[in-house]
Amino acid sequence: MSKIEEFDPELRRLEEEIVQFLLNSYFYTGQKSSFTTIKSYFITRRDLTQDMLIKLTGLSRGTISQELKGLLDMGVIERSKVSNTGEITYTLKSVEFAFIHHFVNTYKTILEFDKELAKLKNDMDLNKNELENTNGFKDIYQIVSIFGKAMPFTLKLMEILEKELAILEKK
Amino acid sequence: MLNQKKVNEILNLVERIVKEYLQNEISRDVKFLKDKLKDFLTNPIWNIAPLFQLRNEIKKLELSDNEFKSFWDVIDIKIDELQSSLIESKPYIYQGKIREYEIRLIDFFMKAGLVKGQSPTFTTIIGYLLIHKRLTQMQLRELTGFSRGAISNNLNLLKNTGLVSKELIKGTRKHYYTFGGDMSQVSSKTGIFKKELNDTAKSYFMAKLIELKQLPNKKGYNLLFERISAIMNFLNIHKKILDIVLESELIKAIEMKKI
Repeated sequence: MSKIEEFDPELRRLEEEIVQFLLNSYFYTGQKSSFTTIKSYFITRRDLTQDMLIKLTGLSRGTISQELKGLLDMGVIERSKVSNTGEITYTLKSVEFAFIHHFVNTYKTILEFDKELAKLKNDMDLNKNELENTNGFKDIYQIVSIFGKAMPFTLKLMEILEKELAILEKK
Repeated sequence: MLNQKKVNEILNLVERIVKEYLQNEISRDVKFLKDKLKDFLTNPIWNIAPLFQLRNEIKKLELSDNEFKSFWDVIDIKIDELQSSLIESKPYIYQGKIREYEIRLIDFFMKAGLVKGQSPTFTTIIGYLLIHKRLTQMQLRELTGFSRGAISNNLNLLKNTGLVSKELIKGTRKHYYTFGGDMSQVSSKTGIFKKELNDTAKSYFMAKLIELKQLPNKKGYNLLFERISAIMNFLNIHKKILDIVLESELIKAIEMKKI
């Protein structure tokens, strides 16, 4: 038997409400629902086994093991314990990290995006005189310019975020 | 129906084609033949009946390679003319280089979305709405090539989070979907909007914490208490970052339309 704490039915109901709230929140917008469901239960439980996840989410074992692998790869959870029977306990590193893991360690990727966007803007600048009044040019050019300017800013925000995470880790 | 006799008949035809090809083609590139054949069998473009008529008519002209080249230019121009006359009535379909820029920008959105764990379908739709300001489901289908279901699912998702609004086009049963209008509005709106959502979430979890406090000594109390507190801690960090964004020079410049 796993040693993971069972919740009292009333707390279980409260937990269910919280998970639903998280699933409908904009923090998760556009992400796969099996992934966010599992992530949400890690937020409310911290430690979970596959069996426990099946019970809580109703998802299939296959789906769960696939999503667990993804979460492990991203460093959101870790294998914290293996029981005598071989049952693995997975542990969420931190709640904060579960929300923002997508933004951490993407510094390099963002730098590449920055380059790509700069190249697009440059190409558009080269043809600006000729194409400026062509249908669609201005709309695309405006967005490319704004995102181009936002890039260094995004990098700065990521620095702040990583600092906050470092502080949390020390705690 | 597929029976052995039919299969053999077809394979005989294939044999004739392959033999002919290998005997007449100097390059003898079988992979090339396979690709062409497969395309010919499956691509709907080859179902257009006049294609074969066109081929026969041109064959009858017995043009030399060079003659064909210049004749092809005439066809090429005709196709371009037709394209602009047939498609120009759809202003949301961009042409030539502009379309190329558009695709590159959408590609950028897609990759950036993947970093955030968002599906490519989702971010592609956001991208087109940002560029075009407002679009109908039909227009989105034409631009993205996605299925009706995929588009309506993702639009509903966006509508539920309040990022996209829907308005009826007068005198029709169609709707326009809008992503907050102008870029200057979009950036500040989404910032303020996210802040509001953050506040809503904070009061929600505060209420849950109070609710939880009514149930002390119940199994799981300590753990859930600790977890809700951690969520609130995250919301505080998130608020701090949103404040930095909202008060930044960048957002102000976008709002003032200086970019």
